[in-house]
Amino acid sequence: MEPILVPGPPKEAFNKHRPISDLVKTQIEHFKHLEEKLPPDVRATLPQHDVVTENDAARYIAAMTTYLHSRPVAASPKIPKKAPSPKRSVAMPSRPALAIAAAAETPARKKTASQKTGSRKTAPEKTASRKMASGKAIASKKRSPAAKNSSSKPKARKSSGKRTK
Amino acid sequence: MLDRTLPGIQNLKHVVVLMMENRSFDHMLGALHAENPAIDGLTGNETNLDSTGEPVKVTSDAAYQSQLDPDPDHHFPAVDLQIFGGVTTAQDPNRKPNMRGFVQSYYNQQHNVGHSHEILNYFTTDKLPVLSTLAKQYAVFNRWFSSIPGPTLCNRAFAHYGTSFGQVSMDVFYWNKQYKSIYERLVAAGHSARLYYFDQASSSLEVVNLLQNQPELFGTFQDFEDACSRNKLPEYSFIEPNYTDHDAPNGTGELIANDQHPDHDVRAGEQFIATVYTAIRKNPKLWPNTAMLIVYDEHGGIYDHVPPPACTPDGFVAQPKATGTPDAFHFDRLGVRVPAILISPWIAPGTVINEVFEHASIPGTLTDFFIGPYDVRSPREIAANTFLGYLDQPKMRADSDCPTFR
Repeated sequence: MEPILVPGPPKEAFNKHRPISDLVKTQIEHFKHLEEKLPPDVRATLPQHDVVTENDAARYIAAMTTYLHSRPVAASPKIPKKAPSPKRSVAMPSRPALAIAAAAETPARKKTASQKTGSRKTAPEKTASRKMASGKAIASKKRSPAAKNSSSKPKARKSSGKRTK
Repeated sequence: MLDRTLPGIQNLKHVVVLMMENRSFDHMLGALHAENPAIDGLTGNETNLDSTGEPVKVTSDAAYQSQLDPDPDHHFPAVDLQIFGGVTTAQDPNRKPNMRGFVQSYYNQQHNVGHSHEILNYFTTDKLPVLSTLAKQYAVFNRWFSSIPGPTLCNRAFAHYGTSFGQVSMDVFYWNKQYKSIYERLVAAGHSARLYYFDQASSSLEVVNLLQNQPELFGTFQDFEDACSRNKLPEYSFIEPNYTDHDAPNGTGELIANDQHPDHDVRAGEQFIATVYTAIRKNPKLWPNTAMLIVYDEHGGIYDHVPPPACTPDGFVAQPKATGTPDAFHFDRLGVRVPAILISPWIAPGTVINEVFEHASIPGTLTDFFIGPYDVRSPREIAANTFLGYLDQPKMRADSDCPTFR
């Protein structure tokens, strides 16, 4: 079989001044969320330019990613060395498409009132999300030594433990 | 259950997943139906009504760039419109997906009737030589759906965790919740796993969770290429493409985005897919022992004709405040269909897979293959079909029978 030619994009396809997409805006938002928890001396080393274009985003993301990799690895959360003892010892077989379709048309069981929702936007995050959606530049936030540290760990969520099959 | 006596499975040591961005099955692979009717693509007669009530047909006029601008809306409310054609549960509590709302959804962004039709464009096979060849020469999934009818991050979460922990948006803050990522599970069980992002400037989308807390799980695409050439590939590799056009961090030039997210040039993504494939293909110590999955995270708001099926709920609920619609979402319906191709010399050319798959199939497949019975995962993942059983050829394909790219 002859090798297949793969044409590349033309030079003009590259545009580092392109405004960032919602996806990259969200990625920046997540990095900013981490940055706000960093000590002031660390934040002072990170770029604080407005992020409007893809290249703006790249510069900031590169600095944050490099920093995250440079930190000493903290003690890892306990992860069991062995998988927990399964309730069933038999791996689930693949289901044929028709069986899935038949099962799927059964309306899902309504969740009980005790089941918590998965949505957990906090007020500052909601505000940040609205700013992203407006298309405006992601302005650097003023660094304050008194900046509050919000918890990076979500609250534990109790599962009902029910399987819905 | 996976048949572990299959020679392809007995030889299997590595699984590589490359997840691209925001293109639907019909948009990228729909034209293949004309070459192989078993591939559930486009006949050319599929339509959506536009805002004036006129039916608009799909057309083979997809452009590499500058056509889908603005970026088609792919957040939950827009996808709900795309799938259900504007029929709400208030109008019909038993509403069924009809895939009739794509043009209306795109119209809502700019109120430009002509431009709204562009959402129905698809690529001819000659314009996508890499994806089309791989789909024809290995296994293409007729029924791989995004995990939820919504945007990127919650869909990618299903690939990492088997669930999005109740998220239908881009808020993903759930480190150390009850289900571990596939990487943590594999490492805890004594296996090797790595997420490779393109470079530091593109980084990973798994920021708040894994990159913050377990940066040692990550490497760059250069690391992936080095690992391939030095026969040091982990047992599981997940690859993220380049999400931005940017100057190379080391000052050596310019790096074009290759994720294929609109409005990035699709050809750059074709080159990237070919590069990943070639890194494995050209190594005779890797090629017989590796299965590669190319999949897209979600449809990007772009048309597909196949209604997503209902599915096993994963135990979470997103309330109307989160969905942006009048209804709660019980994670009991999949998102829009996406391109997905499984590659291995142990797969017959022209394989077409009709079982239903979604991104939870990825951790499901890996857990099944590398770990075995494992209950602490989402009901969706436990119920998801697994895909390694398609490495079912009794003999490995000859080298001359497997495509190469240049």
